[in-house]
Amino acid sequence: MKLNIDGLLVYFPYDYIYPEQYSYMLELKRTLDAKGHGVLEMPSGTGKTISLLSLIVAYQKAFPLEVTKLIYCSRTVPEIEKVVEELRKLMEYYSKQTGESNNFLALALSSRKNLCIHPEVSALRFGKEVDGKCHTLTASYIRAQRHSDSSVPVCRFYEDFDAVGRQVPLPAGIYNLDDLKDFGRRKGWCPYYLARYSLLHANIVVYSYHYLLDPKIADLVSKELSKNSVVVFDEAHNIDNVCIDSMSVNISRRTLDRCQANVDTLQNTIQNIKETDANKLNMEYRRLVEGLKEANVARETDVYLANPVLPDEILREAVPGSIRTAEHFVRFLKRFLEYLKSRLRVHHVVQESTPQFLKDIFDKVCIDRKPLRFCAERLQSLLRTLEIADIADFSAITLISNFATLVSTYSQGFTIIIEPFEDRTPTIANPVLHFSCMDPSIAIKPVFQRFQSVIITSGTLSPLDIYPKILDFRPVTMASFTMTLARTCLCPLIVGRGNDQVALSSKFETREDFAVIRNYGNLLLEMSAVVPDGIVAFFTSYVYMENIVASWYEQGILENIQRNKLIFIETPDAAETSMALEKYQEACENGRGAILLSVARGKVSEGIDFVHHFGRAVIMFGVPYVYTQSRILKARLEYLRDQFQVRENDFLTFDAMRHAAQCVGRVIRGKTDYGLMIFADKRYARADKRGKLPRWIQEHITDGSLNLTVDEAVQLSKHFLRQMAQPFRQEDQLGLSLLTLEQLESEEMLKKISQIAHQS
Amino acid sequence: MDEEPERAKRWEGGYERTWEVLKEDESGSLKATVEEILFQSKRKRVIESHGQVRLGMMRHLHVVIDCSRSMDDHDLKPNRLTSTLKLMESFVEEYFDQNPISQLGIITTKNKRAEKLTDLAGNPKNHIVALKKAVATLCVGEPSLYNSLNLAIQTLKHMPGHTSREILIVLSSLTTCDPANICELIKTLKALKVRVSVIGLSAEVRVCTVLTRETGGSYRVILDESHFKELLMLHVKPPPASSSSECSLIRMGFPPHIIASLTNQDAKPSFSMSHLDSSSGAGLSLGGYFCPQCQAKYTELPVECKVCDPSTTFSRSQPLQRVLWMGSKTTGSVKLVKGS
Repeated sequence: MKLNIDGLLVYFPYDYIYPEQYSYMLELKRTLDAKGHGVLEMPSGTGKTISLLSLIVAYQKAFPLEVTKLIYCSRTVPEIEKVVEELRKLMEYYSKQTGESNNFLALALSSRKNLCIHPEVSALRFGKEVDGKCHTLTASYIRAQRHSDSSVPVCRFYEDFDAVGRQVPLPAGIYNLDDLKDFGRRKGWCPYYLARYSLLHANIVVYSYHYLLDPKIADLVSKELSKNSVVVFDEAHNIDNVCIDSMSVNISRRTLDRCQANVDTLQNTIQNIKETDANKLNMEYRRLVEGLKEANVARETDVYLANPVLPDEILREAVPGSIRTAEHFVRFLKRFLEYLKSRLRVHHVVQESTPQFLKDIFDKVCIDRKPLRFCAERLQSLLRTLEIADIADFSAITLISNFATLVSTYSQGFTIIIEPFEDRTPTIANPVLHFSCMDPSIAIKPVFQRFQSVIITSGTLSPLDIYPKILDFRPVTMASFTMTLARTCLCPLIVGRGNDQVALSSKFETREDFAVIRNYGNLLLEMSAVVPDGIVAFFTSYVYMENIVASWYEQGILENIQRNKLIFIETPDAAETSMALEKYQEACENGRGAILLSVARGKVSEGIDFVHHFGRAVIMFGVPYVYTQSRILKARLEYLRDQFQVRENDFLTFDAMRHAAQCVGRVIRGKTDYGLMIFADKRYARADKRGKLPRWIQEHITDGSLNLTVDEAVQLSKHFLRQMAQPFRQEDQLGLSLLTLEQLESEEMLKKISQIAHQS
Repeated sequence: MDEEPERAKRWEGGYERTWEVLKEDESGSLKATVEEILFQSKRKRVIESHGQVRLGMMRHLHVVIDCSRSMDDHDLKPNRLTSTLKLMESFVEEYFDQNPISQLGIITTKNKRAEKLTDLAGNPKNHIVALKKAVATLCVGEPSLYNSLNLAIQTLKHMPGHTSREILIVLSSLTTCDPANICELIKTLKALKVRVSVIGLSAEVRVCTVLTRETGGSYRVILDESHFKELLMLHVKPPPASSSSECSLIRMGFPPHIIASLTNQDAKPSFSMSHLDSSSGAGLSLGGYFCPQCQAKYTELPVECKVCDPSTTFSRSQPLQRVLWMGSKTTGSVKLVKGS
């Protein structure tokens, strides 16, 4: 279908289009025209990805100088693969319609673990091992050694790539991870380095968030990407947490022990080198005197993405004298390490700001702020000079040096919390130093500054205005789209009372209440009898789930439920959970029916889709507030209040509701799908909670579905499920929620479409 | 609540409000709406009737009735089981009326087992008696799709190729307790060309969707009791015969029904052949069905004539009577003439 979006010719690879897709593309076009940032919310299953791709590709073709590259960031490898498949469909449609062969280069990038084709290295199981092993085969000095000594093993794929791979660009086409591997095998080139190199001239890049947001990785991979790129963050409802995680450091006693070992190795190596090749260390010294000028030059020409870990100011200066020689630096590290160890020997919780920490460190071990700031760079340089191959072994010391640089660079937005034990186990000493980032805008700031358009999109971004606030940017468009439906295929119900009129709530005071637990059990039992196939139930935390399930077992509720459906439970163990999921799906498939008990914020709530019969109902037991007693959270709330004028309660509710919305959003994955969304907590009925749900869920919550009892909910569900089981054909959707080109272009429809986007 | 008077109150959600469908016209009469409803349903049937298709005439149908715990539910009055059995009785009658040379058997499933209520047979009376008795059944445990399908296959697979093999499941439960993987069984059903249809009483269950899609049957879920009846009656009409089914010839008679009135001088009362073997009082009567071959009279139509040729099968089916091949030999499946 060829569409005219506000004057732009857009090829859309399907015969039918949803009205909201059209509306979405209009908004997107406006954002690109303005060269600004946008926040767009559209329900899952309405074809967000293809709308994004079709419009941006059309834009790229129409204005090749304005937008040179699309950087599409997604969360997981399967999602990345999905995006590439959609793109492939689009490109095929293009070449069929225009008759020209495709001249676009699009590729997916993932870690070495997913791309390596070296027979030994790719057999390793963990990402870190693969990275480490790869490094031992491809590091520059290893390869230099090979020139003199041919017995040193190297990776032949990398060698071949290095020899010829850079001269010929990757031919145009769409490459997913397997395509890259195939191509690599055919040519004998390393797919990982080929992909990384090809990023520079690719038109479309699909990779994970971390390649842009995690400063350590972004520095390696993404820093040379062109300025007039469009960046899309898909499924971005948790983007602030990703930003924060990428800037935070946790140091436990084990880290310090491993660090100690690292420092010892460093010292020995330096000693050895000094005896054999003192010249090398001198060379390094001279280079450090010169300073990091080269990096500075590069940054001034605006070729690089700014690295928040390595702020601009550092680059202009030379490395301070006190850590310039290798021995001095190692001694410096040792002192720093000793200081950290002493700090971990506390018996009570300490919380301090970064300036306080710096003052303390100066008083106690005379470490100045300046050398601390250079710590990360200096360590990298030393590791290079010492030709230490296996970087993976040195992760502990790298972590510490990153911490040193961060702590001395930012006086705001971070806090240091030292906890001698975990809250749950106050008797077991397990001191941890949390260096926690409280301001997600620090990590994402370079992205907003550098790229002309950044689109943040997801199925659940409500309330829209909070994201610009906490990420500290000014969007040109903010819009929320609803799902136009030919039949009401979602049924949100708020169950506030049990049949005995006891208020249902997961709030702290009634958490242990027997009556509440029993009523929750009753709800699940009744639902298991009327809902076919799969039910997914979410609890607020693992602890809460364990308590409730144990109590249900004692009351015999579990036994009754098991007559209707099998029960599976998500655990923190990934392998166990995926096993449970597999069995759950099998039980849904063969008619036995199953219930999956899982946890909001867990793996299931984020990444797993429960299409059609795999999820006919979601039950959300309680409001998934984050653990409010955590000191890190408290510090963050305080910071949000002071810096961004976001009230604590607002943020907590926002955070709880976005997770609740994520959980219940798992059931509806398209317009032919249907499902019940049961919010089992009376607090959901309040306007402040309800108002923070995405609009496409909110508009189906009527007065009649508030504060129901279990019985009423069962009645409504039965009715809903029977309605939904009636035959539903594509023709029923046509003209209402599914449009042909003619229908789309009718006056009336265009008017309707303009109302879909909800500007805020 | 006052803003939306037409919305049902929450606590009334589960009940039927049939009276709301009816609307009085200006004169206060309900006739118009009732006629409208009748017309709508008639129209629907016309629209749904296929054009020229071959219908399978000799059917072998196993009806599986779920008797599990969930049949105790009161959303059909008085409960699901009673309501189902009641409708089933009228179904059986209608079935033999429309498919006189077909057979039917009833299977019940509960407590993870499947049991034969009646064997595959052509006499509606036995089935109805059995159904009447079954009202007292205790609904317990889970049903087993696998076991009931398996039981049905045991007899169906021996049926000749020119007849249809069908299973109709009335399923109330949303779960099934199976001894083995049902997917294998679905493959077997497909290979044996058994058509499985399901009427769900509560909601759409995935395994039934797959089962019916694979075997070419239909899967519908009821909304209320009248919808249930409608769905059940859809299965009375013979399904289109698959083009691959074998054909063989059978003799078919269409006995005309002659109604003689007392005023007619020619009419002579006579004995009916159908009372030959029944002990109930054989009486003289005027009208009846007459065998086209030997003129033997029957007040009630048997499957075949007891006098002349036991292999001639009678039909009183309306659509068949319209076919103008009176008394001649015909195939197991009959081409329906449209528009008559």
